[in-house]
Amino acid sequence: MWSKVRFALRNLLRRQQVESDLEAEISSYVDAVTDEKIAGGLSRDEARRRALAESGGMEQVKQAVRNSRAGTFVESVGQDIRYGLRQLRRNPAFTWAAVITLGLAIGATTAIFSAVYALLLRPLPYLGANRLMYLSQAWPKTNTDSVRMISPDFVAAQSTLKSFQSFAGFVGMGDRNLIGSGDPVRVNVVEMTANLLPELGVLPGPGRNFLSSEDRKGGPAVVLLSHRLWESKFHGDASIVGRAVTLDGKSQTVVGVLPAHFLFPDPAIEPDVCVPADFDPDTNLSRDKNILMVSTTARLRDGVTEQRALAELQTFAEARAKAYPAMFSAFADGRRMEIEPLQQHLTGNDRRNLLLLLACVGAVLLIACANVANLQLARAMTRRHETAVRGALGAARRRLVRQFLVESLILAALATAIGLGIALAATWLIRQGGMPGEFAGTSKMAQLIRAPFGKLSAAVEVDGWVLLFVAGLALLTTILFGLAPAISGSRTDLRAELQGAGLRISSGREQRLLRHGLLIAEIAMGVVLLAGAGLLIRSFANVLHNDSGFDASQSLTGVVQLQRDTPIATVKVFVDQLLPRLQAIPGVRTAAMASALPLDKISCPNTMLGFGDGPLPPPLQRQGGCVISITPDYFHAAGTPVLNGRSFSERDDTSSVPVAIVNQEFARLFFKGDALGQRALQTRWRLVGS
Amino acid sequence: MEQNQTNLLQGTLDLLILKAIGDGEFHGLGVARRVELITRETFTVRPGSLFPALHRMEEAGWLTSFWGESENRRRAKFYRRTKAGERQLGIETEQWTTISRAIGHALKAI
Repeated sequence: MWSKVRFALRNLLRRQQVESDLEAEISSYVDAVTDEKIAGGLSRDEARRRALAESGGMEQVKQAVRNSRAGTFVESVGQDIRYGLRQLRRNPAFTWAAVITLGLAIGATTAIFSAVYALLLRPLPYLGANRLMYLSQAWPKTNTDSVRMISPDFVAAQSTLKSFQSFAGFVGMGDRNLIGSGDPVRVNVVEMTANLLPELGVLPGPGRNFLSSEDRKGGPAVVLLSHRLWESKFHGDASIVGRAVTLDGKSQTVVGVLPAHFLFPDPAIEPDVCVPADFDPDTNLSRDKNILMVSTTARLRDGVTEQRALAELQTFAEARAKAYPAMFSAFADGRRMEIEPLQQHLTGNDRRNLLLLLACVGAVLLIACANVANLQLARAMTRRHETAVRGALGAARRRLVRQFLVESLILAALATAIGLGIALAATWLIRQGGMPGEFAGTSKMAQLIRAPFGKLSAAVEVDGWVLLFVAGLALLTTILFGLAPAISGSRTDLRAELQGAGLRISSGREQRLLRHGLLIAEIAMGVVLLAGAGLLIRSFANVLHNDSGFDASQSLTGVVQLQRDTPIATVKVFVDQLLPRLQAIPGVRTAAMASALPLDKISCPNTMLGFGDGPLPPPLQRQGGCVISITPDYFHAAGTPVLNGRSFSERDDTSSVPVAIVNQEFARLFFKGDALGQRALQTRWRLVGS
Repeated sequence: MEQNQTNLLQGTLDLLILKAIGDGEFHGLGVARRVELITRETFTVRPGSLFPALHRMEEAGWLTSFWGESENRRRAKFYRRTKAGERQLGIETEQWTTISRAIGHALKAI
């Protein structure tokens, strides 16, 4: 074997030498035969003539030797590739059209398939992810969205439920200020039970997880840092473990760092700092108790089905409800517990968008394939003459077919290279979009891409198998449609083909049918795709044109994070100092501050309202609205017109009558459009504008 | 010579060449004449099959070649059997013996 390889290399690399040796050997043979014949009594010329005749021709002998030589196959394939490249270069229009069409389709399909695979099909990056469940509660009668568990229920469930091997929870605490080294940073904080990470099969490193003795009320001040915070803020220094950082003014000891690719099991948050949960062990509900909404993930015990766990959970919730005080009866009424696989919970909202995208790129891929098939067919048609000529010159049919095959391979390889580039770039963008908080790609592009992929997009990578599949499909197309005509072409009657060559322009009947079929399919898919894309663009345009009620042009925004429990008087002092300084910056026309920016996602806890001067209605019958606080110039700065009444002024302060401005929708919903002077809410604001 | 041209069985050419070369050194024509000799002129090896076979066997490592001078003082490529070639001869001899014995039995059986 080794000897063959050695000779193959020699034959390929030292071709000249090998050829001249062969020449010398064969001619020396003929000479020797001639010598024999002369010795036998023939004349020199006659001897030579007979020697040559007997040997069957020197050139033929040499060719026979060449054919048996090692490495012949490689060499002739090399010829095919060179010839193929030359052919493709000579037809740049065809080549570019085919390569770019296929490349784009391969790239797009690979990127989207990879995303779908990562988001919908691949198990979550947790240990035994299919046994992880997300638990919530809903009120089917009132058709409300499902809501997280409340902390007293959570604490009670932890020690009661038998269906779960582990029962963990976390509570998002929003943004806090962290001071460790250098400038303070805004970090997203969650508190979580100590068993959350072990339940997910995640081990912090360096450092350790929270101990089970730490997640209790009044537990030690310890924190876990995210890997990106650790890298960016603490330079990946392992000695951070055991040191203290300051979180909202409170010193906390770092006990560990989360792993690099850890994905927090919540679609909305990706915390940079985790603190141990400090739920009240007293599971009774009362009016003045601090109740938290706990995101609950639990691992099913082996052999327990989802249905059984749900049944136990529902029984548990109904038993709990009996012990609730009277004021929570509306809360407990008609409550259904819900349980769903964590994966479904994490990708729930993205599922439809993704499948839509998948259908779109699938259509694109099919169109590209049909396109290339058509191109290949047309080209094979124009090359019938060439095929016939080469056949007439003695090219074996196998060789001709191989030639077409090699060209198809080159096309597919080029297209795959382009496709891979596109897929890598696209998945990179998707990943950037998925980065949370301060590390997020802030460009419009990143946000646009983030939309359909949601949180899990950080885990999207080009999947090798997907690429292989798509490239395989492209290859199949080029080969199928490049080869079929090649085979039928090389089977045709050479003479007829050569004679008619100059006259033939159109193709045969069956090929015409095939091409027409392809065209029809292509147009049909194109229409579907266009319609889909049109609808998407239309709804996007609607979003853009929808009057958002503010003017984003010429406006800059920024976020200032104060410590969580800053007293309201201190906040006012801070605002009073900051605003005039902002206002004094040259080029600033109006400066204003608000507790939230337009289109900000804000949670609206406890904003249940009563109207008029009557007593507050019971909980759950109160109607809600989101409330933000603003400085007087806010509407001016945001470019939002006040349609009725007045804007706030400096005179509306803590000592004056509480006032509020509502939006049109609010006025329409609760006051039939005329809200001015009405009263609302617990604090009895007087509505002064809308 | 031309008349008693018998088609060489596929695969027997290697065996004949290995056997013909023996422990000696021969150039192409030498090998051809030697095959004629040892088959008592039953087989004639034409250059069109001789040279491909020689090159193939050299690449397989059964033969080795060198340039030397022929009896007529001409430059010629000589072939010699290698150790691997000797082993191959053993293998092919055994195969051939098995086949010829089997065919002999088959012919007698009828």
